[in-house]
Amino acid sequence: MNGWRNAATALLTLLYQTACITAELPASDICDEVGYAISSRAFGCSGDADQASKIYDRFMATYTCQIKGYAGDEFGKTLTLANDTALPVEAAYQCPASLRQVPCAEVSSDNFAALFAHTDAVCASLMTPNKR
Amino acid sequence: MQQPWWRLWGAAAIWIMVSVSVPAWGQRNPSGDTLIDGSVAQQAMATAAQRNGQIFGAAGFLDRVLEPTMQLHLGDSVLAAESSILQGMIRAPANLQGACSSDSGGTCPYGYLDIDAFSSAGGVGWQGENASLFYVASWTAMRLTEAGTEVTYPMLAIALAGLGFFNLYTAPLYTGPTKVMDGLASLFELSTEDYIVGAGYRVSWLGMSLGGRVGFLGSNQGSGAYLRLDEGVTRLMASAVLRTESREIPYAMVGMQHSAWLASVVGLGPSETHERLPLTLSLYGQSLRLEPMAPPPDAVASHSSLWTAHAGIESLAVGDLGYLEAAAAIGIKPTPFLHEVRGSFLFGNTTSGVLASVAYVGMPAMPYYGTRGGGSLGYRLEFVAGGLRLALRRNDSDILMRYPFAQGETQIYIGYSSDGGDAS
Repeated sequence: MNGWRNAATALLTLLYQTACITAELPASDICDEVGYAISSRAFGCSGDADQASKIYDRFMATYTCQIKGYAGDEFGKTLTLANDTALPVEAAYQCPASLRQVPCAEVSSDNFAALFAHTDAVCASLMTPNKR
Repeated sequence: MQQPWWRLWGAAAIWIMVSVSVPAWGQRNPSGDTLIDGSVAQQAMATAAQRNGQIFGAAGFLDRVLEPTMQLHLGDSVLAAESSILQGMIRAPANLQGACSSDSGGTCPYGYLDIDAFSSAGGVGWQGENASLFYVASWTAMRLTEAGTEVTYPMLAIALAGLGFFNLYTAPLYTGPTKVMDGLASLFELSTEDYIVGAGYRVSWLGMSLGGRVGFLGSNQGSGAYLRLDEGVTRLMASAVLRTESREIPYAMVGMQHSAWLASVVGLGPSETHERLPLTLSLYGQSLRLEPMAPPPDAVASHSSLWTAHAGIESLAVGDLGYLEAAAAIGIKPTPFLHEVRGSFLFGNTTSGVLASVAYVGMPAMPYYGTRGGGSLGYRLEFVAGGLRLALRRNDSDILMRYPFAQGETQIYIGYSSDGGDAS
């Protein structure tokens, strides 16, 4: 019976250690969110998981993240972009949020410039086409 | 009824409440943490979790728990129930205001917050010599799905404890017209309920034992049907969920589970085909439709699925110490991947013992769910006694089939079944 109690105690200890986990939010993850949002919208429109994955790969291969990092305090509220402008974190998330609403026809091709024309203007600040 | 099951559930409810709410209060008070609107993770919580949970809810419980229990209790009625907390079902970007301190100058860090899912299922069944009847119901809920919502874990723990305790009494009601669970469900932003009621019949023919079960599936997302066919000697089986509205099969499974016959065919097991022990093999495949998130009204119906194939050696006796188990699974679609390689040891036996298991668990990249995929370490630690099963599982392959975006999850599980058998 003592063995059972010891085992239960060990399990409870493990449970205590797993409650309420948080982790840092790397600034560059916000750019990944833009790609995820495009892929998610494409999947929602077509139901084709393979196509949605390929659109993500093409977008991330042809566009560059413009976020340099957090401004000042590493865990501050504001991002610094490549052109040294500041952008609040929650404003940056307006880009993936707006991608939820774009017409399905705009996420069926690789014309990401046309896609961004249907999204919040902040998208064009976060991600820009690769320079050739 | 042999077991004082109401006492077990009472103890279980208290156990969950204490084990979860105490650390939630004691480690940190998360009140004030809010989700950032716009992330795919937030979208995933509000859509894919709901639908995938629904597919696996009642049907999964019937296949995993109630069906094996009924097979072991010929001519008798059985009951089974389970509750679980899935910690870190998804990681969502959040404004961690709850972590702010007075000396931080009012600047709150941004980070990822682990969002948990809560589920409970219960059912009753009767297995006669040939005919059978069954009823199962499940409930899956999340508290935090909308941006700006505060996290309140202790309340959730108390609610789940209450749910686990009352589940058996209310299962026939909370998906029915009376909706007695609405009061508790109102504590959550998102909840799905589903149930299956049905009957089965078994006949002997040409040395085979052919069985079939048919059930009506009702849920707050529409109706459908549950079908299962099996052969008792080889344990060859197929089960599927059909959706009436969309005329689709979101979940299907075919193969052999716990088959001593299969073990004897490959020269490993006994010639007696009805024995579970000392060695059984499993070989089966599963298909789960991948649910798009927030599809627009004019979107085409989903036709992408996650396909996996599983093989395993079970119940390999190692002296009087216990039983060795090994399992492997590969993913076939949407892209080929190694899904699981697992080794387990059961100290004791299937009705009273401790199971320890370590696994490599892999998933493909799914950018449409906001996941990068890859491999990770998983484990299971389970205690079984008197029909009660307590488990702590991390990166469980079954959970990742259900929630493909849940890598890094930890499941706290408690289950009860009349025989104390395969409620795993």
